Parts: sequence; structure tokens; C-alpha cells
Amino acid sequence: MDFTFTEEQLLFRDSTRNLLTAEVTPSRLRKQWKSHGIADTDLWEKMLDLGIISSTIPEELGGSGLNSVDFVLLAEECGYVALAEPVVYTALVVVPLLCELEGDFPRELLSGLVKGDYRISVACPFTGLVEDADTSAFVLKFNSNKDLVACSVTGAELSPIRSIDPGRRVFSFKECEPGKVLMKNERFECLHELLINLMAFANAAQSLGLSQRMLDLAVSYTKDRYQFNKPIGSFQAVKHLLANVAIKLEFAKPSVYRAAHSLLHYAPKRSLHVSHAKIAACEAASLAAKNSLQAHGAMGYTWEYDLHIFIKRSLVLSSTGGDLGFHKARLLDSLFSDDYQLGPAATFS
Amino acid sequence: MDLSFSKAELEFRKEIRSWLRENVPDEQLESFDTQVGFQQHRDWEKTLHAGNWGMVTWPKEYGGRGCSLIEWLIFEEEYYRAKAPLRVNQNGLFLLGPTLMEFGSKEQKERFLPKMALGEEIWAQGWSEPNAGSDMAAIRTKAIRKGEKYVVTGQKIWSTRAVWADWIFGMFRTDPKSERHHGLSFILVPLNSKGVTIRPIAQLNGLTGFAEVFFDEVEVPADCLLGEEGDGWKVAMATAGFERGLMLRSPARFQETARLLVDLYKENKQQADNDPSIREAVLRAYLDAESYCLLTYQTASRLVNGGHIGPESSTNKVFWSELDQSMHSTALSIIGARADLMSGITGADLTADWLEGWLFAQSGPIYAGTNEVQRNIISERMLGMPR
Ligand SMILES: Cc1cc2nc3c(=O)[nH]c(=O)nc-3n(C[C@H](O)[C@H](O)[C@H](O)COP(=O)(O)OP(=O)(O)OC[C@H]3O[C@@H](n4cnc5c(N)ncnc54)[C@H](O)[C@@H]3O)c2cc1C
Repeated sequence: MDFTFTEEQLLFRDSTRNLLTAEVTPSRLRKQWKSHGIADTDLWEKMLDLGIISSTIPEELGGSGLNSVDFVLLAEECGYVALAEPVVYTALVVVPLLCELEGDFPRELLSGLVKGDYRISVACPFTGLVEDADTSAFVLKFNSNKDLVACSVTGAELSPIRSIDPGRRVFSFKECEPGKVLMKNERFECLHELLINLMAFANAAQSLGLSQRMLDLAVSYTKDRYQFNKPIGSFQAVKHLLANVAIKLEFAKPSVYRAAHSLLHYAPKRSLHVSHAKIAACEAASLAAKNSLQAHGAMGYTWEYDLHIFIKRSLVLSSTGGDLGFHKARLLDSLFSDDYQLGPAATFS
Repeated sequence: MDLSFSKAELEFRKEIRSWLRENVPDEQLESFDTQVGFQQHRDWEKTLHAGNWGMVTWPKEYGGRGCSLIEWLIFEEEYYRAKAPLRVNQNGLFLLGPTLMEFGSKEQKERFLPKMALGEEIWAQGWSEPNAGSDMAAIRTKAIRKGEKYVVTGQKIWSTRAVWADWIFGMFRTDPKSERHHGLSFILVPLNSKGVTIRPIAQLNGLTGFAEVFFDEVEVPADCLLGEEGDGWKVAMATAGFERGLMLRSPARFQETARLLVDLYKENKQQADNDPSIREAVLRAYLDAESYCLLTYQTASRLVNGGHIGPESSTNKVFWSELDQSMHSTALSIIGARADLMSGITGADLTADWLEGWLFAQSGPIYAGTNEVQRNIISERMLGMPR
């Protein structure tokens, strides 16, 4: 048993953190908001150059072969900066899904991704909506026959949908010709579950980073802001607001790391582990949003101050990738089944 | 104890209900945090006033009906049931109005109340300053008496609706040598005065719901002083009491939200029941909105019988603001996978309303005195715990 990350994994996290905090600044995000829905392609190119986009693609296809445990820390960092470009979905959803499939076409798609020829997105299995459809060449989705298909975006009907998060670029999508079949429907159950797990896991990991960001903003604000001749962070009520967030966050982290491990090793309970992670991380982010705002007073309630970027993103990450109701129901179904093992010694079985 | 409405009260309810049925616009008005919406809401105030419904508790000579607080609660219930527009002049009507009634001279009442009731003069509140938020006694904006005028210099911030309002009321330091809550005075300032600059501030929904107000040697007639010079703190506390206490947020508002929440749950029951906490939260919304209504009727009855509101008004403020927050989060949990989507798909209009409410609910525990400060007041002044 060794529930820690390697030196190397931590170093990669640190370098990604430095890069992301330098590149993905709130002012850059705000600039993108004002672009009337145009994606920040420069940023994508940069991530491509740095090999982050292709990091989870197998080495023999030109990627760096990172797995979900390696990447989870990077996904957290992407959450920390509220990265709007679909880097995490590419690395943690599209790529692992394609890697799961046999045949030439999925490999071809992966090679195209590595080379930066195009982008690929997925249709949400709950709503059918597609993130960043307009910048993608292909959309992966289950058709009405439950086959997994890759639909060409050229000629498809896309219409943008407005989210409360101005950084979210999401579209309704209707293909103009049937997509090319990637996997026949006999593996539907398994792939459908995998897709949901991947999305939920990606959101959980980013939510950890988001929570940390909101907490950091609040901690630093409460040190600098004085009322009654004291830093407001010295008032017990304010301390407790933020301490409560720290508690939630500390306990959400290992659930996300275990989910990364379970996905990597196809653990029989991986879906439940993912659901646990999604609930814990999104609840942490939602408390972080509420309490960080409270600690800021009116300043946090302004458009100019950056906190709301992260607050709004946390709502998106909570509702997508399976809302909390979906994940709670999935857990409860198992928990109450007769053969579910629980109690001491069952955690890692 | 008699928990039935009198015949007169029932008549009153019937009258306001039928008036609202005739007069409430079918189309929802634009937000009053936009220029167009602000004007629409001002016009609505005129309509209300024309029906003599502007401020029912005020004496007849100032444009009211001389109603009791119980009748006011009835009015509010009908008002929210009818989905009538929000009150753009609530700072004036619910906060300054009662303060004027208590501390204003006869001339001041005659000068300000009728125009307030008519929506001709919309009021902003000017308490907070960049360095005086929770610590209101740190106010530094000066108002120095020079003959028949006060000369005001300094800066207020977070003034709700100041972007298009006509007047601002608030607290200013009239004795420059004074400290803390001494030497402050309650003064009314026309926002179109020379030397006033307004910088709109956008809130989380992107609209400029509040503003920074700068005063550069602004001359204000001395008769705009409310109460005695140097008594500002006392006057302000009365206003703040109205705000936290009875007037600012009547129970009907939350009972209506709770009703909408129950509807939302019923329409989405199957998927909502995936999350076992939702059922509980919906029940709690109903219970808490109901309790808030009960406590308010009880307080109103006590006031009608000659009682006063004390520090327990702080319990109100904490209660309604947290109720509002939790009702809106619950609604978003019910909406589930599409909870952040405001337009472009079916159902998004309704979601947009809940999202707007959710954003606004986040400010409830901050404005009108933060909930942390309220809890300090409750423990120290209501419970007598050590400071
Ligand atoms: C939507 C909105 C509308 C508003 N409208 C108006 C208006 O019309 N007019 C007006 O004058 N003001 C208005 N305000 C400002 C409001 O009154 C202040 O935000 C509030 O008083 C808190 O002050 P602050 O924002 O400076 O926060 P701060 O006082 O800096 O507080 C920040 C945090 O520190 C905590 N804190 C501070 N002191 C203590 C203490 N002693 N003990 C424990 N915790 C403490 C607070 O609870 C909060 O969590 C509005 C605010 C909002 C959000």
C-alpha cells in the first residue's frame, strides 16, 4: 500500500501549475468572454506544443502515455485556473474512450489529435449537448442504435447555448450524416458507463483545483482586508467559514485519487469510486464558492473581482458529468444491495 | 390570541387582490438594474400610487392608507401571489420612510414622503464606504456645516440602484474631529447635485445593481439633515432595524419561492428523488418559509400592541437570507444536468429565473449587515454573552 504520488508526478504537477498560472490568467479568460464565443485557439496551440493535450495518448502513437493517476494532478491544476479550453476533457475523456476501442479508425483519430490536425469532442450522455463542438472535427456520441459513432462536424447543425459561466462553450448538435461506427452496440453498456465515469472523474478532479483557488482567494483577501482595525481573517467567524472549506476539501481529495487509481486498474467498484469522488469534490467546491464569497463581503459580489469566474465554473462542473442526484442514486443502489461489501477492510477490495 | 383575520382585514385582502388582478402587467418588466427596467419600475410605482397602494401603512396625508402592519403583511401576500413587479423604491419606502416618520420634521415629511410614494424620487442608501463595511463607525465621508449648507466630501460604495436613483440618504461625519459613532449625522443628498459622480459597479449577473458615489464639495441644504446633528448613529440604527427586521423582506417573498420550489420538485419528481437530500430540502423550505411567516405575524402583532423590535431583528435577517440561499441551491439541484443553462434549450427560461435568484441569494448573507455580524449581535445583545 502506498497512497502517495511519485516525485515525478509531483514535479510534473508543479511545472504545469507554473505554466498554467502564467498563461491562463483571469484577464485572459475575460478576454475570451468578450470574443462572442470564439475559442482561444492560441492557448490550445500552446497546450498542444507543450504536450499536455497528447499526454494521455499511448507512446506508440506519439503521446506521452500518462494514465489517470498521472493526469489527475494536472486536471486539478486546470481546475485551479478555470481553464476554459477542453484540455481536460480531451485528455481524460476523449483519449481514454478511444483507447478502449479496437480497429484502425480510433488509432487514426488519436494520431490526428497528437499531430494537432483536429480536435474531438463528446456528446454528453445525459443531455446530448457538446462542449466546444464548433472547434472540433468530430463528435463522439451514441446514436439511436446505441452504437458509438464519430460524427463529422462539417455540415452538422450546431447552435450555441448560453451558460451562466461565460467561459463555457456548449452547443446542441445534430449531425447531417450518420457517423462512422467506432463500436457496435454490443459494448454499449460498458462504454456508456465508461464515458460517464470519465466525465465525472474529470469534473471531480477539476473541482478540487477550483475549491483550492476559491479558498486561496479568500484566505489572501481576509489577510489584507481590515475592519475594526484588524484583518477580517482574525475574526473567528471568518476563520471558521474557511476552515470548514478546508475540511471538506481535504476529505474530497483522497476520494478523487482513489477514483483515478480504480479507473486505471479497472477495479470492479470503479463506478462507485467515481461517484464518491464526484459528490465529495463538487460538494467541496460548492461550499468553497459559498463561504469564499461570504468572506469577501460585497467585493466578492462584483463582476470585476475574479471570484465569480470560479463560482460559476463550480456550478457547471457539478451539474455536468452526471449531476449529484445521478451519482448518489448509483451509490445507493449498490450500497443497499445484499452483496455489497462494506465496513472495515472493504475499502480497497 | 386570535389567529383569524377580521372582517375588515378580509375585505382589504379582497380589494387588493382584485386591484392587482386588473393592474399587474402580463409581461414581466425588465430588471430594474437596467435603464429601461428602472423606468418601467418607476412607472409601476406611479400605477400603484394611482390605486393608492404605494405604501399602505403610511398616514393618508402622505399618500398612504393608514393601514396596520397586519394589513401590510396581507398586502405583501397578495402582492407576491400576483407576481407584481419588485419595488424599485424599497430603500425609500421601507427604510427611509419609517425613519422620516420617526425623526423627520413636519416639513421634511411633507417634502419627501409624497414624492417617494409617487415614485418621483427613488432613493439609494449610502452607508458603506471602502473602509467602512461591517465597521460602519469607520465612516469618513465628511459633511461640514457652512451657514445654511453642508459641504459633503468623500465616497460611498455599494449603493444599491444609485446608478439611476434621484436621492441618497446615509451617514456622514459632521464633526471632523470626532471618532467612531460620535459626530455622525444622517443627511439626505440629491444625486443630481454639482460635485456628485456615480460609478456604476456590475454585480455577478453583469448588471450594474450598485454604484460607487463620489462627493466633491457637494453643497446640500442644511434642512436635509434628519434628526439632530451628531445623532446620526441613533437614527441609522433605527433604519437598520427596519431593514433587518420587518420591512425589507416580507415572508410572502419566501413563501412564494417555496411554493415555486414545490412545483419544480413535483414536475421533476422522478429525477429529483435520485438525490435523497432534495426531498428533505424542499420540505425544509416549506417549513422555514412558514415559520418566518408565523414569527413575522407575531412580531407585527406585538408592534401593533405597542411593542418594539430589539436585537431579535438580527435573527430575522440570518433566517431569511439562509433560507433564500438554500431554496435556490435546491432548485438548481432539482434542475440537475442543465442547471447552468440560461437560454437556447427548452426549459432554460425557467432555469434562468432560478439562476438569477441563486446569484442574488448569495448576497443576502452579506447586505443589510453580514450574517457573521448579526450572529455577534444575537449572542452579545440578545443572549448577553461576553464580547
Ligand atoms: C447586493 C448588495 C447590496 C448592497 N447595497 C448597499 C446599499 O444600498 N448601501 C450601502 O451602504 N451598502 C450596501 N451594501 C454593502 C453592505 O452593507 C456591506 O457589504 C456589508 O456591510 C459588509 O461590508 P463589506 O462588504 O465591506 O465586508 P467586510 O466588512 O469587509 O466583511 C468581510 C467579511 O468579514 C466578516 N466580518 C467583518 N467584521 C466582522 C466581525 N467583527 N466579526 C465577524 N466577522 C466579521 C464579514 O461578516 C464578512 O464575512 C450592499 C452589499 C451587497 C452585497
